[in-house]
Amino acid sequence: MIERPEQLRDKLESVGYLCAPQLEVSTFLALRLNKPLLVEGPAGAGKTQLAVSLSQALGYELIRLQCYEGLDSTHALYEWNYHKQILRLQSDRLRGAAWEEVEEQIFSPAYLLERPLLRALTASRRTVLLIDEVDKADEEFEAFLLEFLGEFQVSIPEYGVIRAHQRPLVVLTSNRARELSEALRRRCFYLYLDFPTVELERNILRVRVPDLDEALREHVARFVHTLRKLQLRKHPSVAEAIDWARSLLALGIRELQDPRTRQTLGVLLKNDEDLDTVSGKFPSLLSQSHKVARS
Amino acid sequence: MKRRLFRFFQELRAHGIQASPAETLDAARAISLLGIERHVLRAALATSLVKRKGDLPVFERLFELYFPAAPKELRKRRRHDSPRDSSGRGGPQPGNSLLGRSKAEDRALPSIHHLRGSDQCREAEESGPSNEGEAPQGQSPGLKQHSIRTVLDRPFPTIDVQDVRELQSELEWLARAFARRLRCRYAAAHRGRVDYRRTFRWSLAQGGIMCRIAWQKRRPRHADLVVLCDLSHSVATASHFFLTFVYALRPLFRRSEFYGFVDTPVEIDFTNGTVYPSGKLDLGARSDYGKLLRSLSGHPFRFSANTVLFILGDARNNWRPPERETFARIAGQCHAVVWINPEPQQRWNTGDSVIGAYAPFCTLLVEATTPRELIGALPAAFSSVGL
Repeated sequence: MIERPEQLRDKLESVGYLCAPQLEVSTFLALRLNKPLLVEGPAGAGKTQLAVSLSQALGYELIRLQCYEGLDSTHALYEWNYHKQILRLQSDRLRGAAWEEVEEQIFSPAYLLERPLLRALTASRRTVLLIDEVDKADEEFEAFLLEFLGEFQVSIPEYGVIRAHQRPLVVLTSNRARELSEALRRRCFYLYLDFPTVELERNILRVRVPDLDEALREHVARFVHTLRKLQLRKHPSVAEAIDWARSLLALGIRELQDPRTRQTLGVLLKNDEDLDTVSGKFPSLLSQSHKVARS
Repeated sequence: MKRRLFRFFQELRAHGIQASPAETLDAARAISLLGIERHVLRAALATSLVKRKGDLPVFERLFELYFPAAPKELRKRRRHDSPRDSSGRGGPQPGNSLLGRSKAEDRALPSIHHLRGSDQCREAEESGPSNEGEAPQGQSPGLKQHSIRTVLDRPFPTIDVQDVRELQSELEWLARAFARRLRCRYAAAHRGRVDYRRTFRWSLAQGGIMCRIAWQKRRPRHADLVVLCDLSHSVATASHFFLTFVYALRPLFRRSEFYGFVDTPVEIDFTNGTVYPSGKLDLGARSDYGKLLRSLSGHPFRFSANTVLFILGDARNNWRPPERETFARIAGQCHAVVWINPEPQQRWNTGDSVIGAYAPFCTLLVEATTPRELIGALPAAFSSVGL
């Protein structure tokens, strides 16, 4: 049983996810008070990874629902297994079974295809349910989620109401592609997950790329921080910073002044215009990142 | 503590953070679970009460006022608060705001209103009475206090592009919904021709009983989209709306090219409400449709019988030659040409407008003076070119 936010932080740290103070409190509250956690923030700040790490740290199964335009309840919740039902009907016809018996049979859980939301409800152990990029789903689906998140139950007309054995820990992520409704926000705890500070990023790099030289690690964290201040199409994510640190290590680059560094920028920036912008003023950016250190 | 919290909730509401009773209950539960250590308290209150990034600065400021850091200040506040509590008025009214409290708080207040800034406009409006005679004057009397719906009916010249950008996320949502409606014609046909092959194959799984009928999907025309968008100041807002919508429609086309122009075409990319030109785009230049058409017709393979050409512009040519023949040639090469003119029709062909020279060669020429007219014109435009 986790009694304090610090315990949760330690557990998350043990699976390699370092968190800011706000994050540990929000997550702890969501866990203890059984409320969904809505996480917003820039792409690549570690929103999805939070849910994945939570499932690892707590030993819960992770169930993931990726949202997209046109997602509906047959893909999110449940669907009857028509094929199996038909086969059952045919075999029962041969036996000459009574219709009441058949009906009871074919509308039972054995003929239900469980989609992520239902699976999270019926799981015997507690789960982490990740509803990823909920802003991509339609408004109708969001309205449907309200009922699910409020009561943690689902009613299936032919069968009845299915209640959660164990309330799942629900994490919703959003990139703010559109504004989510007030109603959904009200039902959740809210966490704005921004890019990590230089210190936190340095620590993340220490945990994830332990072999990297300490001075270089510091430098990488500052440089990535500097890039995120620029006007770019897409800012480098935490995962990309880790990848970059790994590539520097693999190439045996000891300091960022190394001429080969410029060729590794593709790991951080996945857009040709961004690449042009950054490699164009690479030296000045490097010296700028030193200043970040001093301030 | 309870009373302080209660007043804090009231204050949040007075400043436009609409904390519902359910949320304040959550906050209370969170505190009883975690205790009142300051940084934990702040995190717990933030996560249970503040559900928007834009509200965080306001929350931070109010938190500093209600739960100040140093114990000395805390005592001072207590003394200050006590007469108020004993007066039995049950705390401040929601409308009372921080005004008329201590001088220090008074000074802190204006900055809160500044923080609320532009993107929180709607909440600022809702919080109404608390900001009476203060916030509305402080804000520019522009679009900011209006939702997307009221913007849709205003003529383009009265809308500032900068303001539209603040509504971009809602606008894009609208655009996607629109695109989805056009697309669903192709995505899931529920009538039309039966796809015998797939129907039979599905039925095999059910012992030859045809439970589900598979319909043939309608295939979109293999069309290439070319969009020309006038980015000069006079029609910039209209272009912005147009691009947002047409960009969402890209999946309907095999290929799509977007050009922005003032006097020369530059290929553009449109993401998150910003136009990214691939080359030099001189926004200060004077519109020249003739020069545009000349440089476009130079490319031999750009237009084909599959091309659908969309043009948004007012055809105000600054008295330069309109190059009517070049336009006729281009239009002849294309499958269809749709011209959307954001100017009211009465003003067409007045002054330096040369829309009349191009009109005979357009498959469709529509007037769209407000965003709603523009959006309304698009389905007709698409069906007129056979999409």
